[in-house]
Amino acid sequence: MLEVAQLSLALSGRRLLHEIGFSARPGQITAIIGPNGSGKTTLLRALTGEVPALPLPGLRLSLNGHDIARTKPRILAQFRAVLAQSTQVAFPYTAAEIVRLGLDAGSGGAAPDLIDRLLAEVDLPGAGGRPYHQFSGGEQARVQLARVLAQARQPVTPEGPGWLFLDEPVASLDIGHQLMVMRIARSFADAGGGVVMVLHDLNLTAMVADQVLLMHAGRLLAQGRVDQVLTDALLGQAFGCPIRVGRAPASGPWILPQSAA
Amino acid sequence: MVALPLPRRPRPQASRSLPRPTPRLVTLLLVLLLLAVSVISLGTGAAGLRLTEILPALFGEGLDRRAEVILWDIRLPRLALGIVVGASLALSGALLQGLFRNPLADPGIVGVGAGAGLGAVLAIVLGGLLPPAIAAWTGLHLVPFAAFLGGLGVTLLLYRLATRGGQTSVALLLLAGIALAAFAGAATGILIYMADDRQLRDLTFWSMGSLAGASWAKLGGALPLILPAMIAAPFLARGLNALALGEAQALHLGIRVQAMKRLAVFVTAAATGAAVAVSGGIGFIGIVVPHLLRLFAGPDHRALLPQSALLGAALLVAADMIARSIVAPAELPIGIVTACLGAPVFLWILLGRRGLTGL
Repeated sequence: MLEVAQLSLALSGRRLLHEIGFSARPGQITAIIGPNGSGKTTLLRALTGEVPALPLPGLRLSLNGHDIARTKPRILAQFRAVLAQSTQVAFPYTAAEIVRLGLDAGSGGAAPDLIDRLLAEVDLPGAGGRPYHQFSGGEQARVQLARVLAQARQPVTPEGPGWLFLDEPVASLDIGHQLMVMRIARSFADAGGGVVMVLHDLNLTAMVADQVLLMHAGRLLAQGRVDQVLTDALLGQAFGCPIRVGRAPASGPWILPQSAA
Repeated sequence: MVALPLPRRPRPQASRSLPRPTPRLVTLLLVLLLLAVSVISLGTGAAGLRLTEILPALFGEGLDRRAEVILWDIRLPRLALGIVVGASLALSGALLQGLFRNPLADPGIVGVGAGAGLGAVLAIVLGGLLPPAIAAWTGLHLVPFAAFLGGLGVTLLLYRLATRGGQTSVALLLLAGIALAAFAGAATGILIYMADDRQLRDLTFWSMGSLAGASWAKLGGALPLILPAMIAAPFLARGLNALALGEAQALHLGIRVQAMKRLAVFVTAAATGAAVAVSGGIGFIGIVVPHLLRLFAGPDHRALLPQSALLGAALLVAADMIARSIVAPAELPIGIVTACLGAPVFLWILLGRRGLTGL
């Protein structure tokens, strides 16, 4: 369980987050959406302890009951893995060496072929020996995803449910691989883990999210199920343009850019 | 309608795996290399004493007095000092490069070497002003000690400058290091301007680096700094590997980033300061050795750190052998040899492997 209350954050004197409060349950996918500069990535960085929250009264930020600001990184790493928007690697490590970093940080045993299997799972079969620098941007993103999956290889750990925090995991991927990432997130949640991710694509959000957090100007404008948050009024208010949420007969909500005229 | 042939998607030429030897094999080869270079080095020297004459003495068999003195008081301490200094310089280079996530970081670049140099020059030029009692007490240890303090001072100052609210900015650390190196260099220049002729010659030789004047005492003075550094270094390997992905990612991989960086800074200062103190400015070992190993054996610090120490030691012993024999019975400062060997190798690496190293 991720519990957040009265979470505010300032960087260089500028308030970026205002009194955020919500909770995310294991077994669910929580999507953070919102316009550019609304604080999605900042919120994710605060949730992972990367940037300290303002110590205001009532602040609460805990994961599986651990106060994130006070828990040793080594302990957190055993049940939580974090994927950044993009990762620069300093030296010519191979894909397998990158994935191994996640393997070493996570907890629990691992099958000897886990690295190869994970690389195959992100559609890079047999690429373990290739140097990271020679992959394309989208391939690099998938290598990093495999590393994160290696770290969170158990959706349920001895420390409680495992957690994936993903910052725009589909940003540099083609549509096929976007769906692949969504499938991976779904099966992690279905197996008992928790997923919190920043998404830009409202259609993907509608497709996979169990809970949606809509950010606007550093505040949580709305939270709830897809049908509660992805509404004409709320999206229009957040994104500053008229948006009509459509509904195809056989599936969930979908959004046409043309309907924003 | 005409169907245009689609251009064939260019297959990246290096989609094949890197042909890398296993870490254990590389380490084994490096140990053999160091052993071989050491044995040859023991048999090389101005006295013309051959290996066949010297080896039996190592195993306690009788040698004449002269050969015994040459072996135990000249060649062996010099070999040991070469191994220790070479290992320290290469290890500090590998640590700093990992810490700064930059294959071009080097103790010489971030000012640690310049700080140590300033300390040494201060001691050489102003040492004569010390009261005789203190001068007698410090004796030959004055210059090395001052060099070590200078290196440590720069490292601590650098760390303080670049750290805000517990977070160290690597960019700030690098840039502040360049500024500090320039400042230490300027201060050194002023001191050199003040120096007399005899001091100038001392300075020149010290700044070019040399293993001449090696003794067990000198080695003993450096070991209390270098041994802890060597012992602590392997504990940094996992953290440095994670840090290659960035500070935030290292944190999420379970590394206490600030503590790890602080330890890396201290280990580097100790190893560099001690090495510069006993041998002067020996360049290029710290930058060429880890670079070569990363290219041919891989960047994993768990292997890279010990292998850097081994290759650095072997390379410095070999360079010292060249320095001693090329103009025998005189000898070149070893810094000239390492620069002549190291600079072209470094350029070659840069030019030939540009795409691979991400430079």
